[in-house]
This record gives sequence, C-alpha cells and structure tokens, in this order.
Amino acid sequence: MPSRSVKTAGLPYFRPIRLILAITLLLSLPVSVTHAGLLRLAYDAGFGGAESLDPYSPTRFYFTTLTLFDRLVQQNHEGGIDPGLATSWEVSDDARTWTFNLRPGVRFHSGKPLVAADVVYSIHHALDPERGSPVASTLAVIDRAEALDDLTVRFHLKSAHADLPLLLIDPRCGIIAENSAATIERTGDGTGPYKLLRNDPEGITLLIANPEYWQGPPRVERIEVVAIPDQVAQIQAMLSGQIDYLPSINRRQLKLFENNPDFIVQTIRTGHWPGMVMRTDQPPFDDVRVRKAMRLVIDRPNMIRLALGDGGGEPACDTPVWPGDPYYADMGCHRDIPAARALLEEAGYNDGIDVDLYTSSVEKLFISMAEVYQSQAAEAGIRVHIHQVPADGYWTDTWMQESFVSTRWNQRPADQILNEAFRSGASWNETYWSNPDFDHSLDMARKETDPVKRRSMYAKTQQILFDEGGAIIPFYLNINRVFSARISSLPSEKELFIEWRRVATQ
Amino acid sequence: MIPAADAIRFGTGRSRLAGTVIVFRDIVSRPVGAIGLFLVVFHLLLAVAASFITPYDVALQNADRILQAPSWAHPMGTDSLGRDVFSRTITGGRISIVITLVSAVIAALWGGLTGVSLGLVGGRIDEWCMRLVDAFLAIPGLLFLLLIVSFTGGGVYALIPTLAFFNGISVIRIGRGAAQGVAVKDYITAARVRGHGSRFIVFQEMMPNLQDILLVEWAMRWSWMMLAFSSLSFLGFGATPPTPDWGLMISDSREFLTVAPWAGVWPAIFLSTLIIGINLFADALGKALRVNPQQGVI
Amino acid sequence: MLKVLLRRLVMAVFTLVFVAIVVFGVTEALPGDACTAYLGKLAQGERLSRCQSGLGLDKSSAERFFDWSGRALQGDFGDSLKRKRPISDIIAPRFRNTVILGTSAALIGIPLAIILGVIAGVYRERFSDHVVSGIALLAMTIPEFVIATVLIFLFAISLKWFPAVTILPTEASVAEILPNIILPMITLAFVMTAHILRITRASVIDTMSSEFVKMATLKGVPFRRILFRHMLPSALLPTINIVALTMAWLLSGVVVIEKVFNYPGLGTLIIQSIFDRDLPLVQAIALMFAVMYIAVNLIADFLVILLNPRLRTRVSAEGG
Repeated sequence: MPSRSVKTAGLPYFRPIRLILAITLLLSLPVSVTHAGLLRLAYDAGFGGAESLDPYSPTRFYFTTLTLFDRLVQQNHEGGIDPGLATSWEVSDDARTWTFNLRPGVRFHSGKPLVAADVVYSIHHALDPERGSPVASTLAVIDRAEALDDLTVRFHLKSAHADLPLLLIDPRCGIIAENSAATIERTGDGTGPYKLLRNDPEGITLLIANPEYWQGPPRVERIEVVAIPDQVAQIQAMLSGQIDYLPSINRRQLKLFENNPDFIVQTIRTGHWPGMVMRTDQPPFDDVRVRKAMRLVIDRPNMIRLALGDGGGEPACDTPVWPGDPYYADMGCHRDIPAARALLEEAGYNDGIDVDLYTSSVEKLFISMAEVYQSQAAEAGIRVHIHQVPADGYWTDTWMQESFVSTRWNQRPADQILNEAFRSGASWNETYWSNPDFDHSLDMARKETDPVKRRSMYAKTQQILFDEGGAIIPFYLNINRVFSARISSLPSEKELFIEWRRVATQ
Repeated sequence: MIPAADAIRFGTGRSRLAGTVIVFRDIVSRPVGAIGLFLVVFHLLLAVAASFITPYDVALQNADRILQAPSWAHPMGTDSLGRDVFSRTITGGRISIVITLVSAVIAALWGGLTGVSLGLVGGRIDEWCMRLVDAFLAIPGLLFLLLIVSFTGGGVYALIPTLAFFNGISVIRIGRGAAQGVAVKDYITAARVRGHGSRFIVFQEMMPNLQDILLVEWAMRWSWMMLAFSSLSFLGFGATPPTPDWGLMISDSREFLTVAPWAGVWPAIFLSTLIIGINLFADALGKALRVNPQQGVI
Repeated sequence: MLKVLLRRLVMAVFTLVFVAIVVFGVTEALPGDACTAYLGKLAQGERLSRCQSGLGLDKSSAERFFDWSGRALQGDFGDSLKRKRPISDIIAPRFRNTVILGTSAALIGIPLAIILGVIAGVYRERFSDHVVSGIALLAMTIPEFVIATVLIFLFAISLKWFPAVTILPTEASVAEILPNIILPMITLAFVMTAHILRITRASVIDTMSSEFVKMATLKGVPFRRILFRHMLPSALLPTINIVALTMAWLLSGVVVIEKVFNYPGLGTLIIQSIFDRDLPLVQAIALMFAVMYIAVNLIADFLVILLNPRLRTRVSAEGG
C-alpha cells in the first residue's frame, strides 16, 4: 500500500506531547482557599430560586430567615420558653388577652428601632389570607394585635389559649419592620444575628455578622448559604471540604463520616413522624376494635430496626406529641397478638381480616414501613395488601381518600399537631376522626391557665386518641447531621434549630 | 481472498450459511473482533443465565450487612441496603440489554427502510423528507426521553418507541446514502431493464446488500443506546428501584465511593465492558462486511 | 457563495420553526395540562382554575402556539410555574454557564482531538495509533458519569486539588467560574476529544489513500509539505461538519456532567424543571438546546463554505 511509505516520514510528534504535558501541569495546580471566620452551609434550593426572605412566605428561604430574624420568644433546650424580642408577658384570667413587653434598644439591620407597631404589623402580615402563609393556621387563634405604647403589644384572641408563647416560638414567626411587606422578600431586614450581604438563593447567599446584636455579636464573621440541590453532590461537597455542615443524612451515609477525624456527627431526636392512618368513618376501620387490633400487632422496636436501622428512631405509642414536648404523655404500649386476635373475633372477623394499605415512594420510608407492618400484622391474621401508587398525585388522589394510607408529619408543638390533624373538621384531619370528648378536652386544655392541670388535660386528649383514634404512629424519627471538624463549638444535640451565632470555627 | 462481504452477498441457502461462517471467521481473526465478540456473547449469556447463578435475591435487603467488603459469602461485597452486589451486577444488564436491543432493531429497520425508499424515490419528496430529517436531528433527543418517561408514566418500556424513533431518524441518512450508492450499480439497472417495479427491486435485490450496512448500523446504534439508557438510569429516569440496573447501581453507590467502592466499581466495569464489546464487535463487523461504520455520527 | 449562505440560513430558520412545533406539540400531547402536572396534590378548585387562566389554557392549542412562539421570538417565555419569575431571567445565566462550560471544553478538546487524530491517522496501525485510538475508544464507551465520578474521587475527595461540586454565585464572572469547573471541563473535553479524534483519524486515512497524496508522494514532495499543504486541509474540512453534528450527542453529555458536578447550567435546570413538572420552563429549555445545536451547525456550515477552496476561488474570482 502506498500510504505505508508515508509512515516512516518524520513528524514533529513530541510537540503535541509537550503541549499536553504543559496543559496537564497547568490544570493540576491545586486550588487553595482560606476560610477562617467563615461558615459554609449547604441547602437544597427546594424552591428553585423562588426563595423569599419574607419569613411568612410559603416559599421562605428557610435557612437564611432563621438567622436574619428574631421571634418574640424562643425555645430553650428543656422545651421551655425563653424571652426573645419580648422580655416578659402576661395573660388575662380568661386567657383571651396577652400582653408582651418588648426589649428596648433593639434595632433592625436598616437601623430602624424595634417598636410595638412592628410586631403588630408582623402578626397581621402573617394572618393576611392573601399571603397564604403556612403559619396563618398556627396563629389563627389570634384575632388582632394592638400597640399599647412603643414597647407594649397586646394580642386579642378569638378563643382562650393559655399557651400562646408556644405558638409564637414557631421558627417562622420572625418580626419584620412595619410596612416592609413590599420589600422584605429581597431585603430580609430583621433584627437577627446576621445581616444580608447578598441574596442569591440559587448560588451563594452571603450573610455577615450583626455587631450590634442584642444577645452579643456572633462568633463567626460570615456565613455562606450554598445551593446544592443534589443529595449526592452535597455529600461529595462535604467530603471534599467545600462545606461545613449537612443538616440531614441517612443512616447509611453515617458510615462516610463516622470514625473520620475531619467530621463530627450528631444524632438529634425529633418529633417528625411517619405513620399509617385509617379512616375512622369507613369500614372496617369505623369499628374501634379493628383499629385497636391494627395497632396492637406492631412490634415497634423491631419495626425501627428493619425500616430505619438501629438508632434511626424512637418508639412511639400512636401519639403525635413527641417526648421532647412538655405535654407528651407516656402511655406505654406493647405488642399483644392474642389480644389483637380476640378483638378481631369480637368484631366478627373470625378468620382474620383483609385490609388494603395504599402507599407510595413519595417518601422512601413508606414502602419499607408498609412491608414490615405487613409481615408483623400477618401473625394476628391481618392480611395487609399493599398497593403502591405513583408518587405524583399521592397526596391528592390517595391520601385522605383511601381508607388506609401512609402519611408523614414534621415536629409540631402538642397543641398545634392535635388541632391540625385530629380535631373534628380540621382540613388535614386524615383519620376523619370526630370525637366530642377529644375536641372538648382540647378546648379545655387551651383555656386552662394552670400549667399542671393543662398538662394533665393534654395527656387526657392523647389517651383518648390512643384508645380510639385511627392513627398508627410507630416511631419518631432521629436526624443525623454532620459538621466539619473546623467547627469548634458545636450546638447542643437538643437544638433542632441551630443557633448559628454561638457556633465558632477554628 | 474472497471478501467475506461478497460471499455473504451473493450466497443463497447453504452458501449463505457459508458466508456467515466466513464473516464470523473474519471477525474472530482480528484480535479486536475476537475480544468484542467475546464480550458481547459473554454479556448476553450472562443476562440470560443470571437468574440461575445469582446466590441471593437481587432485592433482598439485609440491615446487618450494609456496605460490607467482598467476602466468600458476597464475592463483590454488599451495597448500602445490604444487597448482594454480585447478584445485582450479573442481573443488572438485563433490562438495559432487552430495551436497547429491541429499540436498535426497530430503529435500524424503520430507519433503513425509510432511507432506502427515499433514496430510490428521489426527487422532491426525498429532498423535503431529508430536510425534515435534518430538522429532527436538531431536537435534543435525550430531553424527549426524559419528558416521556417522567410525564407519561409508561415506565421504562415507554423508552422503546422513543429510542427507536429518534435513532431511526439518524439511520435514514445512512440507508438513503447506501441506496443511492447501490442504485447506480449494474444489477439494479438490469432489474429495471427487466421491467421489475421499484418495490421488487428494493426487496429482492437491494435489501440483501443493504443488510450489511444496516447490520453495522444496528450494532453502532445498540452501543449508543446502551450509553443513553445508562445515562437515563443514572439520572433517575430509567430503570426503577429495586430493579437491578447498572446505571442505577452506579448512581446509588456514588456517595459511598469512599467507604465501599465495590458497590459501584463492579457495575461500572460490567457496563463499560459491554459497551466496549459492542463497539469492537461493530468495528470488526464493519471491516468484515467492508462497511464503514459512521462512528460518532448522529 | 452568498446564495449558499442564505440558503443555509433559511434552512436553519425552518429547522427552528419545526423544532418549536415539535416541542410544543409533544408537551401538548402529554396527559393533563401544565397546571395539573405542576400542581399535583393541589390541582383542584380555585387554585387550578387560577393557574389555568394564568397560562391561558382556555384558548385553543393553535392559538396558544402562535402566542407562545410569538412571544418566544421576543425572548419572552412567560413565567415559570414553580419559580414564579420570568423564564428568560432564569434561563439567561444558566445558558451562559452552559456555553462557558461547552466552549472551554471545546477549546481544549478540539485542538487536542485534531492533533491526536492526525497522529493516529498518519501512524495508522502503529504503536502511537493503538495507544491514542485505544484511549479514545475507552473515553467514548465509558459513560460520562463513571469518568466524572472517578475524577471526583481522585482529584477532589482524595487529593483535594479541585472542588468536587461547583459552588458559584449566580452572577459569577468567567474568571471566577473557570477555576471551579476544571473537573467538569476535563470530563466533557475527554468525551468530546474521543469523538472528534476518531472522525479526524478516519478522514486523514481517507485522504492519505487518495490519488493526489499518492501522486505527491511519488513526485517526491517532502512529507511535511504534503501533510500541511494538501492533506490536512482536505482532511479537516469534512471533519468540521461532523464535529458539529456530534454536538447534539454532546449536549446530552452536558446534562449528565452538569448534574454530577452540580453545575448551574441548562442541564441541571432541565432535570429540576422536569422533576418540578414545570412544563413552560421545560419547553423553553428544550428550545434553547435546539437553538444551540442549530447555531453550532450553522457556524460549521459557514466555516466549511468559507474554507472550501473551490468556493473560495470563486469568491476571489468574483471579487477580482
């Protein structure tokens, strides 16, 4: 072949090699960055850039608003309430009027002093139906707020509520400046420990320490809130030292960070719960004996082990109030197969019962929980048929429609969760539970100003729920979070909402 | 030496079988072809036989054996849910092989037939259809795959028509080019002179010759689709858990690379060797049939 | 020559219109409408009807198509359902980022591919060819996400030389972006190089066996002269078009690579918008991808026409 002769001809062929070498060398220069006095936190940009700095917005920029704004009151680690922007408060005897005294000398980031009118404005902003704020339902008990003088606010309630401060510790209830509704979503002008330097929810949002903060200046000068939507990318960013904190990793990912001197892992107990709920208005679950039997068959510690892994959660006894809540009622519950069988026979199901459980992969946990329940219930003759429906449309077409479905709730204070999910007629009453006794004792608990009596009343509501309700709540979830070892003073394991101003870096 | 392609081309009956044997020998005689053929056959056999070899249920989770290193019990270790990586890896090609093989056959057939017809018809129709083909090529096919998978809810098998359609578009060009090349050959002219219609010409005379080109094209399309399918699975739009699938397994194990590389490395090796195998095989097939595969051309 | 250019331009416009029709048609043909798809569990009552009238879903398909394409021509794609912002505002920085990633990878990949491709072609079937072609085959067949993951593991997590994922402010300048995208750039360049290299190699081999090269060799023209004066121009010319055609393929690679590296480009955006079921945004991005593809091909066509010796001489004849 003629072309073969060509091959022997010399070609300057070391040149490209040299070029390649040069490029390779150039590319392999390590990137060096210094970051003293800087905290880099990842978040998932869940609203895809529509994140608003208005703490009451349905698409609030969660991470950032927590450090930009303060609440009237704040929760301490014992579940109690500490003063925040309010230094003290009083309640009227009928528990329908609350008066809060504000902290003098507090200034917004813009320099404007905090006055009672700002609090009034914030509350009315939250209650404004046009805003569609998710806290509106929490605060619905408030009729109106009123400024008595510059530093005194009075709340008038629609009905008695002896625990208003418990509602106001909701991390979304930040205080914004009067008449700032139009600009707040961009300025983030609050009284909080950090000030906004640059708002860039899809990139890097910059926060800088507020030196005049009323609880003392934060220990870290700058915070970068970094958008990383992809879970795996978050893990890799953490492993390669690009960020300092991951809010939540699963049990399996623990292996990546445990026993690694570069990281510190914390396991936090929370009141988040997944569950399976029965519609109490539809057969066979309209029979309280069936509901009871359905709950008696569960081996809760074993379910945690199989569905979550060891340490993935804490056993629950079908109460939505979690052990960290001051109103938690510890009722104790045990698996009792013979009792479950007896109840079923009593209800007329002598050969066991067939039930259809509708679930979906909206939450990874739902499926594994359903499968564990299926095998545990089988021992009592309950034949669970699992129907896995598509994730999209689950919350519309299946949840609150079918008679037995998977569900999930985030941690809420006792009063809030009992009212939102179990009071007759509540819009998210997924068990269609309607029990006058229960509603009545909830009302009474709200009215009761004596804390000891109030506690016993909340315990009573939970007992009614436990005896007759339709919710299977087998456990509360634990959350694992990771910090880079650069962080020298870690938040307490009791803090679900981290106070970043106390955190320091090396 | 008689070129293998000519042997197969003019053979009928027994001699066509002989032609196949010659092509086979030609492929195997090249080291590249032998390796390629071996890899393809190995993976196909494995996909068929996997369920007889798997020591564990591919979906069986075991909370006590999460991310364990390879051992006698689990020769490739376990993944983040405690499933046996060996069982999952050898089964992991099934779905993708079935879907891509079927799609590649359909694509080569419909694209080839359309292309050949256009090449024969020629004129205005051909010209306009080719413009349409060019326009179709500008459509980002991957995006349509994503759209169809996520919005129709038809699951992974909804990919077959879409994959076949978009790949077939690219085959049209090749089929047409080949038909134009062959159309001027003497035996076609002879058939025309004999008074046969164009449909007869296509099926009786040209298809056997074009089948070489389409065969090579099919092999190239197959390898491309394997890549595309694994990308889809990786992005979460292909196979659905707990189905074992290489792309999905790689995606799932990515975060655990630092502590359990085996969970991702094995599927990656299997996936890559299959695609390399198909490519080498297609190369050797092209050489044996004296067809120049249009590598890298959409 | 002007006529040829014009015809190409008309063809590009035709293609664009066609793509717009298909993109619109396919999303139209999907079950439900943009509102039911997006709202999911909330698709009922007032919320649904508000969304539907906001998008003008009460009008006929044809009417909406002309509406949509007319506004798209002015760069107005309406608002994103999820992000509640003008789509053009969302896309603009993402589009720029994808172009930066693609261009920087092309600037490394294309010259590298041509140099290596020529080496492999000239030294066909010899050691350097085997090495180069072998690596190219690996780069073409090993999926991008595997290459990317290995690079992250080696250079970001183990050696900590480069960032594992891209963390950038939205308004980052090119100078800020480049040091942060070295790994995605290498991955994309690697895949790109492999494809172009194989085409170049084949083209060089083709040209080397052509009559005029044989003649020149027989006449005793020095090899270097044959290579640079005669062979390369005629070998590279057809390569340009084929390179442009492979861009469509590479665009899908960009989606995967952007996803792995968390790169804020159009690829990650389209995956998110598909997950969000934000159809207006999906449509707009699909159109942008098509525009990129058409633009690259148009540029390639123009380049070929400009560089083609035959057409070139005609131009100079016309001019002189």
